[in-house]
Amino acid sequence: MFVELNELLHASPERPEQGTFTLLRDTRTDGSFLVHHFLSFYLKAGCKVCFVALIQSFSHYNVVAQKLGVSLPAAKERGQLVFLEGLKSCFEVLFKEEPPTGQPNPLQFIREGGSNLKALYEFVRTSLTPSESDSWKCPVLLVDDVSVLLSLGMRPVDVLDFIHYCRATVCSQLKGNVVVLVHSREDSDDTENELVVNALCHQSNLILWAEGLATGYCKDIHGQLKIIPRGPAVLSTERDLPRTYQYKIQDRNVTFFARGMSAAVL
Amino acid sequence: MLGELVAGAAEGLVLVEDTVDCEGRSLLQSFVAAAACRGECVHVFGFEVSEEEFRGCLDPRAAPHRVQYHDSFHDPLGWSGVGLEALGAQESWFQGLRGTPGGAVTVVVDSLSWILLRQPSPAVCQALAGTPALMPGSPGEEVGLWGARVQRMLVLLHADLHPPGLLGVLRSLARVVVALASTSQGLGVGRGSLHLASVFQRMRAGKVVTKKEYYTLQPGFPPMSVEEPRGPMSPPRDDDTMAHPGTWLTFDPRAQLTFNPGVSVEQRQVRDAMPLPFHFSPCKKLSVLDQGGQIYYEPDPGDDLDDEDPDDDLDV
Repeated sequence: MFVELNELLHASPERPEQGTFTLLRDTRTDGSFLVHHFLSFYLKAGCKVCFVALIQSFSHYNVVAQKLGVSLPAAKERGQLVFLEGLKSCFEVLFKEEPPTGQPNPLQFIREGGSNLKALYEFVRTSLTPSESDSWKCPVLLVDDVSVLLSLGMRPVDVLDFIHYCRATVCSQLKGNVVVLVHSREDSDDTENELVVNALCHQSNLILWAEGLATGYCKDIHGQLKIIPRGPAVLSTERDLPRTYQYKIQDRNVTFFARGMSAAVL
Repeated sequence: MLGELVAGAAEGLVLVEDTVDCEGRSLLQSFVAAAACRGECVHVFGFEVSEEEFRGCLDPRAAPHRVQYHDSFHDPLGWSGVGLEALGAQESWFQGLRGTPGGAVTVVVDSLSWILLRQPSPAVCQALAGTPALMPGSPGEEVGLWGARVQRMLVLLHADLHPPGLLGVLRSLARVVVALASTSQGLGVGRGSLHLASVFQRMRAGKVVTKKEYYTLQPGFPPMSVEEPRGPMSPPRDDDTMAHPGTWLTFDPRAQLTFNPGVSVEQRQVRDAMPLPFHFSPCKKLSVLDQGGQIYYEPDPGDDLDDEDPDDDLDV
């Protein structure tokens, strides 16, 4: 959890917002530091988190989370974190026999061509539906990242249907939050990915857009972050105007500063 | 013009096109609130937001009982077993209109993009074109659909999700097209942001009216037109130049500057007579040099003073 980012977003782990769909978007840079931020933020806030991790292994996320002061194995043990390790599940779907009984693998769409993401949605829904003994604040779904689903052969509409149902269930019915990372590149020919990105932008309440610098790599400035609140136009205030900051990723922290105000420049 | 459309001048198929930079749901809700205030029945088919979220931003003075929300948001594909089926079929769109008392009805689709991404676009366009009330040039009062008279159909469309060809087909079906765009002018009057609306309207007589205007939205009020754009805010696209040749050529870029780049003869004379601060005039030289001067030097305690002449060893 990065304190400066919390201040920029006016967020606090004591009072996490509810019912919001946050889209993390990265262009020409890696926006995974935002995923690590929200994972540690919601675990510290006492929310029940379902993490659909399709990019990295559990140990990778755990190493980063430990640097941010959160233990993922401990969170799993106490039932706060439900972790779907996509790399492992893919292997099980492709090379292991399906058990005759029990829950279907959430990633079974890899083996069944032309199927949708309903099994993955069912996994999310059952994971986040609170039981009577739960005392967590609100359910949270984290997906890292949606672009992988397209790479695995899903159609854009299948991905949008999955996110739609997650929003309807988690944000609207359970009053929780959904945080999704997606890669984008405006000058690419990947029209399917751009369609998904634009459609998700329309559905989101907040867009955090990490971009690499147009001037190329810089040792002291790793990119810029656009904070774009998206809400009803009638309720927009000065605080809801899009803002842009530059950032530098450090070992355990990320520092944000106004454009052109890096300590290395001044 | 936008205010008149919201107040009831828009009939038939009304297309509200928005983009990621400028959302159009707020304007759609202004249409809904105005129709409800006029006493019309409003049927909202919501695919993208929940009823709670949609009603949360409606004008509280709009009669809420006149706005019926048909929830297609929570289970549109039947994954939970209670959803709608055959979304592209015209009949399913108007199932909720059964039993509506006679009188003007406004149908709202939020949003058509959701349907177009999941249904064959020809079927959706045929469904739109097949509704007699929405056909260009046919007055709305001719139609009775399950006893209801559909006066207008408000459709929200995310323009950046569809190919230009499909957008062209939909625009040709519509009587009114409101294309929204964001502006770089920040906050306008009060709290609402300033947006740019390009309005295209086909009148019943066949006349076509196009207009661009800035507008702002305030909670509880209809959209307020602020002003019309004075000249192009950016270099026009090719199709604009073709449609209005000469507009760009006669445009004077100096008209919108906040300062005056030209200088009149009198201003030039006054400017030339102004002494510059670095100009060393004779009177300034006199005032500085003729007063004389003296140098006082007080050595510091730590100074290493040497009484000997430092140059006495020079054998010059």
